[in-house]
Amino acid sequence: MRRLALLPLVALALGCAEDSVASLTEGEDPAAMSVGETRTAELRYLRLDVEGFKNELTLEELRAMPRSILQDVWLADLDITQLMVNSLEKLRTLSDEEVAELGEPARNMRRLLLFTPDNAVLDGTKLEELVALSAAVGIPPAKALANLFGTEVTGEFIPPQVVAEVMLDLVVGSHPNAQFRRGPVDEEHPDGMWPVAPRSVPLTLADVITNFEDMQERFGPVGDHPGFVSEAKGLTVIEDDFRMTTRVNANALPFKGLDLTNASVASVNSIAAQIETAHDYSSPDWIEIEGLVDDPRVERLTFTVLEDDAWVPGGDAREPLPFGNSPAWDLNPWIFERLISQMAQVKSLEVPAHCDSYELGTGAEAFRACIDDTGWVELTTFNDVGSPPPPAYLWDLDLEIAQVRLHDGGLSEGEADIELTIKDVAVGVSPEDLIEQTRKNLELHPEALAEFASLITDSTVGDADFYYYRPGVEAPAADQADWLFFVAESDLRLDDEGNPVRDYAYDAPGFWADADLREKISSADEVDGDELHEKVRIEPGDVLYVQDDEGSVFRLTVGDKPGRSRVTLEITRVR
Amino acid sequence: MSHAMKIPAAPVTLATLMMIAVGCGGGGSMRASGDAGDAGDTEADGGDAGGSDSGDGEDPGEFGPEETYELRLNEGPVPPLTLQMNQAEVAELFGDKADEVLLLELDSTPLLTHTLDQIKTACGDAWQNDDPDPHHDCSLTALGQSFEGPDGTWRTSPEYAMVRLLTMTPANVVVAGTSSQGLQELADVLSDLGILDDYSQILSDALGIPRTAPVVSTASLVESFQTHFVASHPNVGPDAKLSFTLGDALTNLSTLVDRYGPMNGHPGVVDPDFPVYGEVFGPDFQMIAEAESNLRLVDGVDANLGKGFMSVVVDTTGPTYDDELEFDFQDPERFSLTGIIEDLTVDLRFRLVEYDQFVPSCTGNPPCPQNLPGAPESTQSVWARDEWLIEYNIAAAAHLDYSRRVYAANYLLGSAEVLIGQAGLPPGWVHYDVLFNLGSPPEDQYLWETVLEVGQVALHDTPFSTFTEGQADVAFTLHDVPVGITGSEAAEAVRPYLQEQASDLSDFILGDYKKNNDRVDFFYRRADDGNLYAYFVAPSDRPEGDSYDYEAPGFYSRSDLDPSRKVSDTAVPGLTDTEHEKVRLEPGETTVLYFADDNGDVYRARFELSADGSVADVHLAPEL
Repeated sequence: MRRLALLPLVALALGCAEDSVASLTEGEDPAAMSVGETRTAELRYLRLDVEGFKNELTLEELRAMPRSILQDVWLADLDITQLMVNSLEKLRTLSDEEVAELGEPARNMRRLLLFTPDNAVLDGTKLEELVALSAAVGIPPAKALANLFGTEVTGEFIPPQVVAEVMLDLVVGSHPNAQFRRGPVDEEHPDGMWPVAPRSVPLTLADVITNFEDMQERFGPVGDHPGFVSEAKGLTVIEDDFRMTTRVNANALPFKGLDLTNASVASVNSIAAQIETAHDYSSPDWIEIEGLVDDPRVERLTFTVLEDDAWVPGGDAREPLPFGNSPAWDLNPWIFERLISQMAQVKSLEVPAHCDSYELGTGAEAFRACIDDTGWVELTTFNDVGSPPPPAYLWDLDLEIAQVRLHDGGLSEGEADIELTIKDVAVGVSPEDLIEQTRKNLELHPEALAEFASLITDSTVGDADFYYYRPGVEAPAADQADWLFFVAESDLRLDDEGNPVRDYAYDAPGFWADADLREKISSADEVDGDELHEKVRIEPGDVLYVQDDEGSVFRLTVGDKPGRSRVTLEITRVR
Repeated sequence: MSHAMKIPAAPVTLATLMMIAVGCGGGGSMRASGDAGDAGDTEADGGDAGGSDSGDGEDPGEFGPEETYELRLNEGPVPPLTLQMNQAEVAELFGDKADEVLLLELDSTPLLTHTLDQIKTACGDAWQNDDPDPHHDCSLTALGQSFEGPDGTWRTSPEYAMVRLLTMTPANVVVAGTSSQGLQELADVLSDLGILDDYSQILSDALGIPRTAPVVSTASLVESFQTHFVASHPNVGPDAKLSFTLGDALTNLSTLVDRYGPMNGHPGVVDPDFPVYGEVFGPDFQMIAEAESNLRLVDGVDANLGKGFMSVVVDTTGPTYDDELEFDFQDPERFSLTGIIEDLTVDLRFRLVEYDQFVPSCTGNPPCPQNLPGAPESTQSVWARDEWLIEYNIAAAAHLDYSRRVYAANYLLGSAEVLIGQAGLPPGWVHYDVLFNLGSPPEDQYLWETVLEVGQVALHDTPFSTFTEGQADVAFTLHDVPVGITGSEAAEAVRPYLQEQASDLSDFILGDYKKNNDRVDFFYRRADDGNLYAYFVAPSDRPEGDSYDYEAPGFYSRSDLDPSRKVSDTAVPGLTDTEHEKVRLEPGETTVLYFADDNGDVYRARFELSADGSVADVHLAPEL
């Protein structure tokens, strides 16, 4: 497995230092220390800097890695706007046979989305009579509607872009798994949940190498949300020759520490700790991803939109601003009526305030349609012929039309939940864009790679409670000393599935001045760029106390330094 | 001769087109360009693109990509236009056109009768007593109180003088200053002696009217005023009927001043210095009118701009066949007026002017027996004066009263005779034969000439003032004069008038419907033979004043638009339309045509009709 790619280097380093470390007891499994027992250990800070080390992972190798680790390697928030637009375009161009395969609600929805002033069917709506009489007095209804809606006679009432954006904002944007993704824990994200970019879904390395195999599960029903993908098949993002190559500049050797339980020497992978500097982001080839398909596509994608089980009336008042009083605005964001209202509202705000007036030959105003800059529409006719609807927001009118049309074919309220299946639709993101996004994101958040990097170097041995660290000459002068770092959760050894082999079960992580662990003498203050670990500077003669993950307390007495990067410790279990 | 090709409406594949082209034979060949839907063509019969005969090969044109437009027949039912309007809405609907909507033509008799009745009683009705003194007191009535002469009283007003004239009876007649004065004096002297009837009685007998009856009857005055005063107004017809338009009704008749005020020398039937007022529509007035629209929406294409729309008139109901709207004002279910004021009256000022000089009576035989209305014997004759003058109308009224009067009486054992229409002279011609010409009787003349003389004198010499000639113009301000029809009668009476104008009303309301038409190059419709056609737009489809810039209107079977390749015709058997170039299309088939738009750019149009023809997908490609 390529995850071991650095191991030869490690072995080499170890080999070079064979004499120096022979006295260490790494790999041995001595008996657990008893209370009052004292042992001595020597720790060395080993360093083997590699530069531009090319770490290449094939698809097979990646797929063999623990999925949980890969799932935490966030690459990008994938903007699926174009996927939605492409899906709508596909929907538009379905063949008659494909349309026939759709369910009645889906057919109605499709027709609705394709409505233009020219082909709109307004039977059964408040506009029906008005439209019929419009033609009777020589006013082409399509022109009147087009003027009112600020579009061409053959232009959609709600353009696909608006449909897509609203679907993304409301349906996708309200889905828990499209709102947050897992990421590193930091001060701003103490729960490790990071917001996902609007109109996007998070894309991890796991998604890439699995061709999004769990999309249906991930974006299906979650909690109250009914999900927006009820079926996703055949999403093809990568090809078989996919490979990911990174170039690493780092100390390849692990840190040396102690497992206090039995005072054994253990190794802690150092790559994660160096992840901030492990890659030369100024080099364009610090990461290379090959084998992404040129035109990622989804073989079969089914969107789900639920309707409210009851008729939702349009509003009839301006207040509350800015949407009015239709109950549609109180519905869950994924409900059809709410979506239509929102789509129409978005479109309406693109319509400039204006009035259209149509006069009879005598000069009498036959029909007047006005919309103001808030979307409020007033339709008046001479003598109220055609029974124009009362003033309302444009989206209130749209809502009624949409609901009527959605139930064409005799569907009752509640029977028109929509499942729109689109076949062979392009995702709409080029591999170049995806790589570029990934590169930028990882540059900004290299910590996302920490665990992954640890995994592929796999140099953690044993279960150290702390380790010895000696900053190099490139570190600030104040930091150039001997330090003991208490392990962090991310330092724990991983099993083959990428899961920690043990819990981070420390009641009092850090180093203390007393056996009762009352006076902490360590801190997480930055040392050589590290702000994660509890750490303490040591000098010969120092005495400090520390508790292991089993609750035992040990006294550490720093002995004389055998060398510049070497310390000796006398370990006594005191409790 | 037409030249077009019809092919099945199934998806047009290149292979299909090739097969058709080959099948058409005739030595032609089919060219298939790389762009979608490129079609060749064959020839077809004139006006019917379906009758292919000899194909003659591929079209030489190169065409760009196609744009597709869906044209529908729009054959759904058109709802009737139902208006239920109050007065303001009626006014709004018709606007200025309301003045052109004739509601009624009213006989002016009642109006004039009521007018004259009011005038005659303006100074009381004591004049109807058998009393030489008519006891005029104009302060008794509102009308009389409006009389005002130079001294600020009615007594010096010309209106009073006119009342005096109109209320002149044999009993109260005053002939002082006339040619009859001597005769009156003689008669009255002899009467005082008890040997002769008084002058009033003699006059009463001679005229054949009671002593207390007006010398000139109201009926005759009305007829005279109708025939001469009213009918001579430029805006009144010979029948002297007064027209009332919707505009009049909507403005409470105020517009009558404009129509019946002074015009072309006529002083006006009504005085423009006083606003005519008569409420016609009550507060609950309502006009309900229902009309069927004959406008039909058709879908078309402007090759430059895309899909467009037009309205066309499809009128199958006579008597006219080009109406946008079909009214039936005779049908109470489809038209009604309610809320018209039942007691229709009018306030107006009735103004009469006199001739500026005394108009002498025509006396003597000859020539005066021939001096009759319409045949003045001289330029001095009253019949040579304008018909709207007071003198003319008084004389004409008297003529009406006495033109058939024949009478003979002798007094004092035959020493005096009054002979009217005797000795072969025409009726109304009076001859006084008095011994020794005692009393200086008037010369022979018609009775109406006498009335004219007495009337003029009466008008200018009243007990209170004297008017010089030309100063006795009168204007009576009248209120609540019944117009002679009730509101409910009017509501019914308007029906035939409106029905007569139904076509005009349609034009008023929707006559400019073409302003909403797009400038499409062609449109798709079902013609009156029931078949489907592509109509090339014609000049009449454009709004008035719009240009029509097609150099080669019509459809062609080749993009060179050679006249011999025209497949459309204006005249198609079975169709009444002869203006539009049109081509018949068949449901379920595809027809390829070529045309040039109003920019001169050539296009190929593939008309692909659905099986039932309700939709035609037109695939339009510009020639490159």
